[in-house]
Amino acid sequence: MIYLTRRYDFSASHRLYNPDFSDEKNWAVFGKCNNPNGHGHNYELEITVKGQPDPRTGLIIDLAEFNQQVNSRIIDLLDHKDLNRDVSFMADQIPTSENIVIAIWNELVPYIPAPATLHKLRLMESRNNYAEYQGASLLR
Amino acid sequence: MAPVCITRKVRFAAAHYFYLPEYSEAENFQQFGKSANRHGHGHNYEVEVAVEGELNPETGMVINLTQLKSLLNEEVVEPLDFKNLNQEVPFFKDRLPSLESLVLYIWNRLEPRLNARHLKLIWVKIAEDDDLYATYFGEAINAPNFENAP
Repeated sequence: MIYLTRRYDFSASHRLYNPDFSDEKNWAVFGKCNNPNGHGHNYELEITVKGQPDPRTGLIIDLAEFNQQVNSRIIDLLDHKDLNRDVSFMADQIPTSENIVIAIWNELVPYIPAPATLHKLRLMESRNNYAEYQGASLLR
Repeated sequence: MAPVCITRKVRFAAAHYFYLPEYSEAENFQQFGKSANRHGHGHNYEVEVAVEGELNPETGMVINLTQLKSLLNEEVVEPLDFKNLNQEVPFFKDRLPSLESLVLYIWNRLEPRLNARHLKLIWVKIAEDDDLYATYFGEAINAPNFENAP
């Protein structure tokens, strides 16, 4: 089994708050991330797929097709967008790194060119913070 | 004594292209895009290998890093650096020199040599640029500690 990882960038704004909370509680839980005017990050997304290399080509995935799916289904929808208002697959969710990485997984998993499969996502909102996800079915 | 894992990085520069003789020129470009140019193109590859072994209590080392560097030079850098992978490396005579093939090539050369020294190869990673890399853990174990790997 070979693991192939490709890195992508997108820039987006967001605000962390829960509309069911009071103002005081939103500030207490989310701190400066609750600024009502929003703030933004240069996100980095690492996508790892796994598979056995095709015996003739030595490749586990059609990278051009994969790249096109990632760009059209994920990156184009997130880049230079407001995650609270502009992204349909993030509707009604607090756009934390945790929620974003799960939403990206769910959007992408049906579109990985077979026979490769999605193995892991790592979403970095800065050099200091990242979230990783390997799908809901993985028990550990 | 608990085993300790040590990781070393080496670099090499090489040319390659993706072209299958049973396809037409048009099919090759459709399948592989600009990588199908048979004049080749190149990358500055970065290879990381993670080696696990018992800490020698007299030296405080798993393996002397100078010796590990020599081993990596012999098995990775010398056969690949400043080569055309398609034309000059026999392993790629009948398979495309993809990252996936390269990671297997490196694993297959290093693993027996490390085994002979009672060291265990944990993973090999090869990156062709900042945005794309392949990782291999061998077939014995299915990515045991992938969360902690690069």
